[in-house]
Amino acid sequence: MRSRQAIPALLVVAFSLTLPRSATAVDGVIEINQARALAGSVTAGDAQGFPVTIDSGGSYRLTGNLSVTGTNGIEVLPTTNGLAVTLDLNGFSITSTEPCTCTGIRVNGQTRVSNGSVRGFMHGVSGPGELWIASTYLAGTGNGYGIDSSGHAEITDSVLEWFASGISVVGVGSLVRGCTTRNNSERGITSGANSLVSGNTVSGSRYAIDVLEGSTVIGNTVYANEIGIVVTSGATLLENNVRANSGYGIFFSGSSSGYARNVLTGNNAGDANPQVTPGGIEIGSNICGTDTVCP
Amino acid sequence: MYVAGTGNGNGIFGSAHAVITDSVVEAFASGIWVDVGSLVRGCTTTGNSDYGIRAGAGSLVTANIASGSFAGIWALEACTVIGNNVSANQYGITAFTGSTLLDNTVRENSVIGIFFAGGPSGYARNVLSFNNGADTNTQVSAGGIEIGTNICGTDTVCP
Repeated sequence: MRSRQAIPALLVVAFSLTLPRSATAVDGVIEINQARALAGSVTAGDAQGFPVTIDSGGSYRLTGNLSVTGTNGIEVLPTTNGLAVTLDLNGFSITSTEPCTCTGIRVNGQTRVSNGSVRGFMHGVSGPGELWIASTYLAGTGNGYGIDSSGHAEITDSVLEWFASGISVVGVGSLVRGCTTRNNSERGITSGANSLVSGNTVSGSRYAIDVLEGSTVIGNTVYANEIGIVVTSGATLLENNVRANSGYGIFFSGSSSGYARNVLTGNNAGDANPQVTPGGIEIGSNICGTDTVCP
Repeated sequence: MYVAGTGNGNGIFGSAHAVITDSVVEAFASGIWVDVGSLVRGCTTTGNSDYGIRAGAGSLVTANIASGSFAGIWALEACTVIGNNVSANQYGITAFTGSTLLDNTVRENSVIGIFFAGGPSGYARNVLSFNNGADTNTQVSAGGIEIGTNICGTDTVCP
């Protein structure tokens, strides 16, 4: 005979089976993989299939590769709890199986992405949210943006290739550090005013590094682009190695920008030609071609 | 680490010999407050009402972005301040006696770009523009000693 005490417990079990379940959380981290993406309910607002919708702040982790066809991979919405979203790719990839005008990770709120790959989408990570990306590989299809953010952004230790624009972070005071961008047809790195761009390697773009006023550009390696570094007013350029760009190594537009300890060689069709445009102010020695006479 | 406040208090408070790196601190009274002999590197402070970074004597403050404060970087005696981007504060960098300021980009701070307090400090290769309302106004206070070229406004005449 079933006891009276067992009946409420059975009701609880039965009732819980009828509720939509969110994806498994381990130590507070919600796990995402292909099966869970297709099943839906990763968060309360997530429908079956792609894109995976994240509408609640917290920590998320891939536990397998995601294979996506014809739509965005993950969409981060403004969160219902007001917290940021941290997405650990955990060494896995989000891959588009066919060309599409879609985005690997679309962000509309404060988002951190790290430690994995985003491949085959028109845009890699894109949207108006505040954005942190670290240790991520992004490969495109020859157009679109690798990373595109209009809010404050910090992009570190990542590799981007085969987009029209590799990194485009136009929010004031953004940081781009330790990244490699190559073969992005139009622009390697574009940053907003008062940004810090340091320790990057940029090649194979029309404009390698293009920064707005008041930015700091330090210690980058910039080679085999059309124009190396483009700066507007009030920028500081130090210790960059700028080589074999088919046009100018450094292009100064605006006023009040200073440069020192940069080494510019083989730009503009040879060391004998101007390596930098007029308009910059030397605040220390630079090498322009085979001597220290700049421009 | 990302730390966001409610407009008062300290975002990150460190006593002597603190090491603060690669963090974002916003919306406190003081973003990062550290005491003597500390390191603050690779941080972003935005919208902290009093100090973005307040560093005790003998500290190293490098490769940070500081904006939206009364004082972007406030460095007490004998600090080294290198390669920072300091914008849209009231005072960009305030340096006390015996400090070294190199390679900083200092722009659009409403009162002054660099303010030297106390005895002499040295500065070189800093680019100061559009502080104090315009390039034609004073970008840096008296009291610093140029140990290399700086840009103040549209030329290299400082202060």
